[in-house]
Amino acid sequence: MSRAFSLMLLFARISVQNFAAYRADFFLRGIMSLVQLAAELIVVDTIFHNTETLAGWRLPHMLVLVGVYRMVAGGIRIYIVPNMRRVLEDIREGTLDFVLLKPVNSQLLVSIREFVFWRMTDLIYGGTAAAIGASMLAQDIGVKQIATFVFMLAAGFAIIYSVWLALATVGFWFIRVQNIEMVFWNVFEAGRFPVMIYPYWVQWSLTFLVPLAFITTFPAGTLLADPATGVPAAAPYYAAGIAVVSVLLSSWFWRFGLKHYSGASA
Amino acid sequence: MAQIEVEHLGKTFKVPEREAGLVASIGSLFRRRYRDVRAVDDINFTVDAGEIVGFLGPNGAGKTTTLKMLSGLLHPTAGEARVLGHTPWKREADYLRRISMLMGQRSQLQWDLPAIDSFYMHGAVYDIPKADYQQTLDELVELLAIGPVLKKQVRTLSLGERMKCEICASLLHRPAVLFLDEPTIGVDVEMQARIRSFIGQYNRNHGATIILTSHYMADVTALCKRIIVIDQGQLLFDGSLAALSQKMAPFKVIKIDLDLKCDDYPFAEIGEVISCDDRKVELKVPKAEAAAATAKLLTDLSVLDLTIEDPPIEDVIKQVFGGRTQRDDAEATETAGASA
Repeated sequence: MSRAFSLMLLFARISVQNFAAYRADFFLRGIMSLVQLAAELIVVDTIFHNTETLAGWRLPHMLVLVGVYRMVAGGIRIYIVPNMRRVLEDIREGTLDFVLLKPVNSQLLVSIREFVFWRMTDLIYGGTAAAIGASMLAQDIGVKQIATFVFMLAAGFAIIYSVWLALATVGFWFIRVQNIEMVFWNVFEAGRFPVMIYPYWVQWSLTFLVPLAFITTFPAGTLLADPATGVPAAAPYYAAGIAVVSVLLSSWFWRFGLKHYSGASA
Repeated sequence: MAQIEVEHLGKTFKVPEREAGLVASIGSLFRRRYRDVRAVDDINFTVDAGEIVGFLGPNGAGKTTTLKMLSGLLHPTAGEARVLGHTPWKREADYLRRISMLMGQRSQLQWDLPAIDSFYMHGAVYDIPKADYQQTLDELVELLAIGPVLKKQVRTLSLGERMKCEICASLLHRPAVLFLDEPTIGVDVEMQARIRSFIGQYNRNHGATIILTSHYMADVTALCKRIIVIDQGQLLFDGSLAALSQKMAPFKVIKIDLDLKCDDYPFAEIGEVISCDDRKVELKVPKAEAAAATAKLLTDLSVLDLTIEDPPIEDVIKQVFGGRTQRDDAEATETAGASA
């Protein structure tokens, strides 16, 4: 485990070094990510200009949700998507060879090679938005709520990571799956709003089929601990279960896929 | 002691196939037809510790596929292999720590960073103790003469410099078995010679077992006492270079120096004329007829000097692959040019 962590640090350092070669981008991209958050907040403001609640969620609730959404989107862009994008590239070009030759667990190695450091800004902005939302609430948020929230976020990341690992693994059979990223972000957009606002069948799909509810709505709901949000009290247990199952399944699928890796012909 | 044992190894790829044209394209969306391509077909060989073996064969012969199975990158569809006592495709960390595969056509260095950073990363991934790392690095840097380029961004290096850095990276963990796939591709002749002598030296110093594929015969003749020829996935020959000439080249080259110029002498009736330049003539004759041809030439002509030689190894290889090597080489150059 400590070896995994030290490798993570190593690759993060290399990525930062790589990025430092393009320093001017840093500020521009920081601003871009702020603009994205602003656009999301404008939508929330517009909605609450016309209504008091959205499926039981009030303005402070929604601020927390948008903040969580931005943090999760940032987290996905820091680690998950860049690494999985690179796996797909590596499968296509045959450079996955270099990963497979290393005496390190291949799943670990493909998951930590990229670290998009400037996306940390998303965590800061999102965290700030969520904190502002939370401070507007009548009641205080306790340590237990924060701990559960952090746990839910971790479970959410584990689920998203597994989904992405499975998508990348599909690349062993279908080489042209880059567009999958666009599809992913389009679906992910739905997480900007509480799943409760959607028709029942969409709600069901977003909870069990594409467990997006566990990634934004439920973590935000746990932090708020307000029955009005409609987030089930047992959500953390479900999240833990789904996270464990999806991590195990995707890891098995990755090992299965590796057997079908044929490398790009040299 | 055998370090590499290969038994009935085979790899079949399923390749989708369709006719030309729109109708066939749409049809293939619904019903795909596959063709089995046997990239490697039932090959057997063993390699002893410290041996350098050259893999020869035209493009698509199955050389790289074999190397990839031995390095654990590909799962075979048939047969067994043991390298250093491990089954390669189980990809155990203990195994991967003791081998290295260098692919001349691909780079594993970090493009935007100085090579030294990639080396450091390699050291960490292979968990090489600090003292060992520094000692090996110093040794390799000196042998490969890459000291001056260590701190330059990899993308600014020349192809030859980069290749030497690639070699350095793949040897930092002191592998006992080395798979070299085209290690000198694209670099100039002088650099080829240097890389070659380095590989030989590494083999002598560390007793490493090496399997090498190359398009350049010089690599093979300089480094490998033993060669394995594969074509269309099958093993055609396994033995020494000299034995290959014996077995695969059923002809000899007769070189004669003449006292007088003999333009009208019917050399073509005796054998294939390779060159006819002033008073020097080179003829290619079937091995069985070499003695008779020599006797006839000595009788008919005033000969100053005459030698009978084995044909150059390049010619033997061309003969073995029925002229395919040349054409494939041309294609390979085209592809390389397009991707460069």
